[in-house]
Formats: sequence, C-alpha cells, structure tokens
Amino acid sequence: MRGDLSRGSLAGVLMLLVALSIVPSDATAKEPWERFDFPELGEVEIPDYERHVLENGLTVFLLEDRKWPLVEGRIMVRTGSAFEPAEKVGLASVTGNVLRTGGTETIPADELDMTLERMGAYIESSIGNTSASISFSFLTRTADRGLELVADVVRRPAFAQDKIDVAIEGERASVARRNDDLNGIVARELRQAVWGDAHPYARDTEYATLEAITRDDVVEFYEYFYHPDNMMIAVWGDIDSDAMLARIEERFGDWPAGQPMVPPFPNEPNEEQRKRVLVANKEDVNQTRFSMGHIGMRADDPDYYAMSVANRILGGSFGDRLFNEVRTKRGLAYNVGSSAGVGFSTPGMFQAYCGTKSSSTEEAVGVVLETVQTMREEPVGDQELRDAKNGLLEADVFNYVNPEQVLQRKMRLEYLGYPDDFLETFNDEVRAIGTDDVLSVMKRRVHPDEFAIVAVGKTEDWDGDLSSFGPVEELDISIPEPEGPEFPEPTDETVEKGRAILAAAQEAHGGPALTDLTSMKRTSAMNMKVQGMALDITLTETVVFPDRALTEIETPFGGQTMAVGPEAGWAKSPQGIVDMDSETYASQQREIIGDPLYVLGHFDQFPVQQLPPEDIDGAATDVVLVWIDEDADKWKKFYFDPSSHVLLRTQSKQRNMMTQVMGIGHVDYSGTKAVGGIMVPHEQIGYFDDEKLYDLTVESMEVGPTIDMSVFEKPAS
Amino acid sequence: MHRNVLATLSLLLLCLLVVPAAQAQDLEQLESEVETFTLDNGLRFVVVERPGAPVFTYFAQVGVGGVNEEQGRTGLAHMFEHMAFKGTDEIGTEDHRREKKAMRKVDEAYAALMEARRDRDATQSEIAELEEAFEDAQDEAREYVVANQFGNIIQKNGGTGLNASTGYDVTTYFYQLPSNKLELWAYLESERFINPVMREFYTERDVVIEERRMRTDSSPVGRLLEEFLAMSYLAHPYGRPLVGYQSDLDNFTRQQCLELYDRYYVPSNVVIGLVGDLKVDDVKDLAEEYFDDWEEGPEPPRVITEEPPQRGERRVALRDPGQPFLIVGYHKPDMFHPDAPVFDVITEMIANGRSSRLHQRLVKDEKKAVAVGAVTQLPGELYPGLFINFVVPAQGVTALECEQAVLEELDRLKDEPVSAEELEGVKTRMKANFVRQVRSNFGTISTVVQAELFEDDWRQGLVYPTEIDAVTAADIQRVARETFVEKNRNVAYILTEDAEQEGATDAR
Repeated sequence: MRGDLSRGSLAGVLMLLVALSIVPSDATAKEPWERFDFPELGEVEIPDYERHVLENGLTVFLLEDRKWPLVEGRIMVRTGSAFEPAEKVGLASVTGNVLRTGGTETIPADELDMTLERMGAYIESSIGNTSASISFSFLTRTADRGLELVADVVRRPAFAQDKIDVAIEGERASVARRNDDLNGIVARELRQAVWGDAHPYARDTEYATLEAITRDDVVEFYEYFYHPDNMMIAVWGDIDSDAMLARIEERFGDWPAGQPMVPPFPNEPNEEQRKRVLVANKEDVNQTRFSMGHIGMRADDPDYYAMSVANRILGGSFGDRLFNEVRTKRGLAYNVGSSAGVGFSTPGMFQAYCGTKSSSTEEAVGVVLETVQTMREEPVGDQELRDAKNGLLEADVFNYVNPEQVLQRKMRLEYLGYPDDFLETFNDEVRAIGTDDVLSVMKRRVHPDEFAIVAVGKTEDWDGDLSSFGPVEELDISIPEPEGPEFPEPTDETVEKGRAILAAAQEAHGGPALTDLTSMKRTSAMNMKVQGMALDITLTETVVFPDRALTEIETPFGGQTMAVGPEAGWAKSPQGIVDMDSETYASQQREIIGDPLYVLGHFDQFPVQQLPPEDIDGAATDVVLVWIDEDADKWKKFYFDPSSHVLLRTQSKQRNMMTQVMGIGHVDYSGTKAVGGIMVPHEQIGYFDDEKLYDLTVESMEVGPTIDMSVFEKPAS
Repeated sequence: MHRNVLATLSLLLLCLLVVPAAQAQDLEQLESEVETFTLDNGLRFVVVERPGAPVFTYFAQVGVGGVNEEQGRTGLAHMFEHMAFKGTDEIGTEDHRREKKAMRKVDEAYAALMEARRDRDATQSEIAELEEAFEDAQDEAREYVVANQFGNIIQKNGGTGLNASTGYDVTTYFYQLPSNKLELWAYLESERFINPVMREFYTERDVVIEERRMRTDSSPVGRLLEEFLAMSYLAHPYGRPLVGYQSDLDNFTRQQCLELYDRYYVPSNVVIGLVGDLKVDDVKDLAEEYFDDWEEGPEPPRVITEEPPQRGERRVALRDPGQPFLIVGYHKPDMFHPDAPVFDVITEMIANGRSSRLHQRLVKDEKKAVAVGAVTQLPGELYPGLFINFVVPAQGVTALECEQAVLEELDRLKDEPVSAEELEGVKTRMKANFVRQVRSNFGTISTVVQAELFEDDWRQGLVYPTEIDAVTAADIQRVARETFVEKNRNVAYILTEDAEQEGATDAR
C-alpha cells in the first residue's frame, strides 16, 4: 500500500541560466584579465528527484544517478543535544554514536562492524545540536542487504552496554583533550560568552555529566525521538526509483508512527550581549588565538543577504579586508577572517577571529576591531561591492555540481522549514544589494560595543593586557577533575588488617564489656555554633542497641525529642508530634549502629578494610573504613592510636544540618575514661569540612541500664 | 569518533601539508575519459572531459617539496607556495618598473641588516637604524602593491576552493572556476608559473612563521610529529620540518626563493590537470597560446642522500602539557617497490575501521584507546618513508600502556597468516573506498596528475585495485617479518606533565 504520494519532481530537466553578468563592469576596463570575452555559461541541469510520504509519516526523497556503482543515502531525525538534560551533557552524542556501534537486536555489534566493512559499505550515525543523521553507502550489488541493515540499525538498535562504555570512554577523552587545541578553546569560550555557559548550544561535556549517563537514559532518548513520522530519508545513486521506494516501504512501512511532541529548539541566548574581554592563559603556546563577536541571525532573517555580501568583503574570502590588513600588509597572522554569524537552524555568531604571535596580541586585536569598525562607518567601494556580488553569483553554479548535493539540500531545507527555492531567492536578493545596504546592515547588526572578546595564549608574553578594549575578566579553562573511586578496592590483606585493628581497639575499649553492651544512657553538654551564635545544648541519649534510640535536646529556646524504634520514628517539639519520614528514619537507624561503641563491639557485622595511615597533628594513626550501610553509600572512617588503639577520630560524609549541603564531617575524641568496664571518650569536637561545629562533654553515662521500651513509642501528645 | 579526537587525527595528517597519496584503480570508463598532451617545452597536461555541471577543476603539481630543500633552507618550498599568490609583473602591482627598484632597495636594506646582526662589533643603535631603514624600504615598496589581486581575480570570477599545499615530495595548486572562464585560467596560471614576482616577501615570511606557530609550536601533536620525523631520519631530508625550522625561516632571502623557483619550476617538472565541462582541443589551443613561452630548464636534481639502515630502536618521550599520544614507525621502501600495495593492505587491516585489529583490541576490548590509525607512508612516497601506527589513549591511560598492543598486533602478522575471509573483506573495502575517492572531479584529477608526475604514467593512478587484489597472505607475513623488527623501530610519545612540574613523572 502506497503512502501519500506527492510528486515533488520537476517535469523534465529545468534549464537555468546563471550567466547573466550581474552588473555591467566598468566600461573603461583595461587590465589584461578584464579584456577577455567570456562565452555564455552552459546550462545547469537541476536533477529530477522524487518526494513521497509513507502512510506512517516517513518522508522519502529519491534520485537516480547511475554514473557509479554506489547506492547512498541519509536519514535525518528531528532531535538534538539541545534536548538532553543539563546534568547529562553528552547523552545525545553517545546515543547517536551507539545507535550504530551498539549492534542491533538481530546482529551483535562486532559482527555488524565486520559485515559492513567486508561489504565495503558504511553506516554512520550521529546527533548534533539540532538534528540527527544516519548516513550510508553501499556498492550496488549489496544495496538490498544494505538497506535491510540500515532499517535494522534504525529500528532495532541493541545499545549494548559494552559499546556505551566505549562511547563514553571516547567522550571522556574529548574532555581530557579539549585544552590541547587552542582554536577549540577560543571557539568554546566565545560560544559560552555569547549564548551563556549553561545554554544547550554552549554547555560543556564534563566527566560528571558523562558519569551520570546510563543505558536507560540512552534507550529513553532514542525511543522518544526515533519514529518514522519524525524522519526523512533520502536515497540516491545507482537505483531505480520505483524499486527503491518499494524496498523502503518494505523495510520501514510497517513501522508505526507515534512521535510525541518535539520541543522547539532553544534559539534564544541566555546571556545579555555585552562588551567584555575574556582572557585565559595557556603556557605551552607561542601564538594567541582570539575571536570577538556576538549573537548573529538565522538565514530566514531579511538581513541575511546583505550580511552575506558584507561578510565576504570583511573577512569571508581570499584577500578580504581582514586578510589584507592583518595578514598581507602587516604579516601578523596566517589565519584571520570573519563569519557572518548566519545559521540555518539556529542563529550563528558574528565573529572576527585571528591567530597571532604572543607579542602582537594587543596590536592584532586593535587592527581587527578597527577593520570591523571601518565597515560600519564608511561605505564599501563600488568595485569592491561589484567583485563581491559577482563572485557570489558566479560561484552559484557550484551548488549544482553533484545531483546528490541538490537532493540533500532539498531535504535539509524541508527539515529546517525553509522554502524550496531558498537558494534561488538568495541570488535574486544578492543582485539587488547596494553599498548603502552593506553599510546599513553593518551598522544595525554588528555592534562592537557588545562584543565578547575571547583571547587565549601565553599572557606573560603579550604586548598589552587588552584592558583598553573593555573590562577584562580572567577565564578559568581548567577541566574539572574526574571523580576517582572514593576508596581503593579492598584486598584480602586490607580486610584482614582492618579487622585486626578493630579487634585491638575493641580490646582497648573494654573487650567483652563492649560486645555485651546492649543499652546505655548518656547525658552530654554541647556547645554549638549556630548561625553565628554559640548555643549551649544538653543532649540526652537513651539507646537500646541495635535499633532503638531516644534523643532529647534541651536548648535555651526549648527542647525537642526524637525517637526511633524497630519500625518507625517520631519527633516531638513545642509545635507538636510528627512521624519521621522514611529517609530520616533510615538515617537515624544508621546513627545507632554507627555509634563507635556499637561498631567497636560488633565490627564483624560490617564490611571493613584498612586504609593507608593518616596523620593527625603530626602523628600517624591507623585508619579503618567501615561500611555502615553499603547500599546507602554510608561509610565511617575510624582513626586509632597505633600503640594504645584508642579511638581518636571518626569521619563520614554528611549533610550539614544547617545548610543541607553534603560534605565531610569528622569528630575528634579525647578524655577517654572507664565507665562500667568500657573506655568511653568523654570529650568530642565535631567538624564539618574542617570547620569546627561543636564541643561536647559527656557528663554522665550509664552502661547497661534497664530501659522501659515504651519511651521509644510515639506518645499520644 | 569525537570532535577533539578527530581533530587530533586530522591535525596529524595536516601537519604534513600533504595531498593524499594517489590510489590506483582500473576503471575502464574513467580511463577512457582521460587525455594527455605535452608541449614542446616538456609541460604535461592531463585533461578529463566531463560534461555536466558547467564548471572545471584545475589541479597542478610541481615536483618540488620539503625533500628538495638544502640544509639551512628548510621551509623554502612552502615559502614559495605562498609567494605564488603574490602576482606577476602585471598582476598585483600598479607600476612594476618602479616597484622593481623599490624591491631591490628592500633586498639591499635586508642584506645590510642581516650582516650587522651577524657582526659582533655592530652596536645596538646601528642595528636599530638598519631595522628602521628596512621597514621604510618595505613601506615604500608596498606603495606599488595591489594586495592579493591574483586571488581576487579568481574569486570575483566565481572561483572557489582557491588554495595550494606543499608536501615533502610535491607542491600542489588548485581551484575551480565556471567553465566559461577557461581562458582566464590559462592567462592567470601561465603568468604565475612563468613570471612570478616575489613581492612582499618579508611580510609573507612573517605569515609563514605564524603558520609554524599554529601547526607546530602551539600544537602538542605538531610538536611530537616534528620530533618523531627528526628522530627517524638521521640523513635524509624527510626528517626535516616542512614548514621549516625557526632559524632557517628567520634567515630566508628573496634570492634564495628565486633560486628554488628557477631550479624546480621548469616545464618538465610540472603536470597540469583539468577536469570538467571542457574540451581537450580548447585546452590544447590555450595551452599552446599561453604556456609555450615557458622556457625549458635543466632536469632538477634528485635527492642523493639515502637514509642508512637503522642500527637500533630509537625512542623519544616528550614531556608535555598536552594529552598522551603515541606514534610507532618503521622504515619501509618507496612507492615504486613492488611491496608498496602490501603495506597498504597492512595499514587497512591493522587500523582502519572498527574491525581493524588495533581498533578491536585497544578501543573495543581493552578500552585503553579511543582512536587508532595507521599511515602507509609518511612523510612522502618518492623516497623510502615510514609505516606508522598512532594511538590516542583513553583518559587516564598513558601512551606507553598502549605500546605493547601495537607491537603485539604487528608481531601477529609475522606468524599468523591472515585468513582468506579477512583478506577478502579488507580488499573489498579498499576497492570500494577507492571508487568513492576517485569519482569526484577533484578525486579523479588529483589521482591521475600525481601518477603522471611521480611515475610518468597517469594510468598508474588507476591500477590500484589490481595491485591490491594481488596481495597474498604470504606477502603480508614476509613484509611483516622484514619490517616490524626492533632495530627498525621509531617510537615517539607524549608523556603528559604540567608545565610547572619538574620532571616528576617516571617514564614507565
């Protein structure tokens, strides 16, 4: 069953004459190269192509070109890295990559690679900012099998975990290497200055964002966007259109439509365009790369045509103004030019860029700025304009050299939502551009007083600090480190040693008295800094190991009571009684068994390992890692005196009570005294991220008292 | 492959400013389209009529490159390539008669300055004065210049892809024009080959030095490659940097550049290629009209020095802030040796594509690398070059940790015959890629022109598939045993170190 069939082909071959001399040249031309009588340019054939839409919404473009024994094509999908979550930058790139490298439900990854390579064929997939594509190429004799494989890859990708790992490894390498390429640094930083650091078109992939990507994420991304009604496919080469359409129908026709809404692309910058000079130091270069600019426009902006002509004169061709001034006249650069800042799917960035030796950095920035500014102040010369327009128009013929070039352009224009005759319109519009149009567009659309100027190089060798161009900010281009594993892998040796240290500590702290400890009551006086105030707090803890605890806190402002039992917890304050939520309950339970006295008495219940020794106040200590709750990522490090085995310190990852921020807290113990056969530290000092939080003195302690269990139950009022 | 990694790989190849080596395929139809003729002065033309879009591609190669440079003049061939865009006595100047005088003054001022710089007794103020006089002379000469007029003419006539490149063996000039501009092309190219004027020489030298800073000095892989080549070649000029050593660049004179031009830019040493919507007869007429005047010159000298066989493995570790990178290279015969296609096959099998041996092992299985590659012939083909493998290690992995895999995979080729299936697959892929490469106008013309220049027979550019087909598993073993031996090995790698670190890291 055929889908919606609309013939987009042109009847027969269109003759297009592009040779009209656009503007009559200077009648007094006398240069030798202007004396030629050029014949009229031959005709350009616009190739015949077909456009169809299958019932499931898949748009199909077909073009026959029998010159070489190759069948090739491209699929475009409406998606992009613009849609990946901010905490998972890199997800789209990985998904696009592994769509191809991860194998399919029918063929495992390595076998697919081998099969394609032995066929002399390729299928490649990628996802960019605002589109995804799958391109393919097959020798004619294997084209049927080829299309089968393409459909398999697109419809039934396996996203093998192993290949996701390989892809992420590749992304990590790109992060690691991003400061090796000077031009890349400048391009990235300018993008971030213009669009905003966190903007989808500018944000960095980092180790942390890659770490967060799971296979589920990849599958979810694919399943959202890869539907036939969200795709276009173009096939060209040694094909018969009817036969190829039938094949495509066969391979893709039964794929149900079902594309959910695709959000619009975020084409607005997050950043106010304003004049700044952003500088970063790089030690291992003797050349500075800089670029200056701001947001540009999309190609459907009415100023596109004048801007194209203006940019060609300014910095878009061999011998343009920037080339002449910076490179040829002054020898300051090899690479210098400008970009009109026109994008087809998103606005581009207008920018003028240059690479120059360190000691001419400020000079070169000045010349570039001046050259841009001049074009905003004075109209360009008539001859200059004629040459630019002529060059653009006469080169138009190169847009029609390959039939597939034309076909892909048609597909792309449709994907982007541009009119079919966009290229032809361009020519007409360019013909009409005058010197006042160029001046006007430069004045209205190029604003040096809103330029972000990004310069990276060995700043100590610069001929100036660039402050004359605007307020200078220093950029930090350092790459945030990857998080290594928190602790080394435990070995038999470190586990055994850990147990031995804890055994010695258990012995030192009371031995059997510790292991027999089932209950305790402890009253302490705390002095705590809370929001700049020093607060005196009385803390009373009633604990029945392993899962009951009552904590009473008295402060000058009132008191609070918390309790947990084997099943639930509650808290009582002047405001009333509330049930503990499950997270707090779990955390409080962990506090009970994480109490050093309990751990020392029952360390065989926990996974432990010795860690490398650390110094406290210049003296070495034995360090043991204890996993209080591995699943919840809750660990506690215990530090002991190596000869007395007395507990000196505990350390764990915590949330700051006041700020709720995660950090590392530690408690230093001293004043160890015997209570009921147990050696108990009576003095504690608590720290959060190495800043002192509280002092605590144990005032009284009962070991093994009989406790009325009802105190742990939630009171009526 | 990911942007940065891909950029690294492209940079590795770009650093050599080389046009891809000619590949040969026996494509009958393509062959039938090619016509050649030679002018009386020895200038060869290769023309491919290809009706269709009304455009043509021009592609010319001159048998001069980095390999021909004398000691103390590295970078001169590339320097001339830049000068070839400066125009002629008609193009690029308002008044060449006056300009010539001004240019002579510049040369004199420069000679005086250089002499003073070398003179131990010259004072600072004397040198400063001469520097100012040199600047003034250049400013005066610049008065007569119409900047970049040569390129402008091409561009305003609808020209695209205007560029040139210098390699170790060859210098290439190319661009495309609408097909009705054929006579313009004939005028421009004949003028620039026959009457180049080396105006703005010293300013352009500054531009070339910026190019060196960009490609080599400021690029970790650029720096590594320069070390690698220098280490691999003790005697032969392939070991010298294409863009030139800084001190050589600083001492260039216009006269030296003219000498290179006189010696190498002779008609018998040039092949001009044209492909597109044109007729051979028209080209012939224009060729005779515009290029006949080009005077013959003596056959340019070949490079005499041969690199002696390597006596032992060479290694260099670059302690560098850049990320790790590994190059392993072995000396091999030149392109004329019957084993050349065997190396091509080995290159493809070992590191091209996801099922290649090194990719499978280092990228997929061990995950120690994110990209691998091999180049069959570096840095040139006319003389014995190097077969190289390169590896881009994964984050946190060092270059040395990847070396073992490379050596082992090369060793495997010695003792394990390649299966018929794998060999067939590799050949199919290579032949298909050749078709993809050669079908564009640019691909076609570059292939046949280079074959004509290097082998005096453009047809050699198209026999590639046949040569590949003839490679056997036994050939691969034999070549592997002869080549991949320790004393023939050159290893260069980046050992990543902060700029501030004082050599703290051990070389493992």
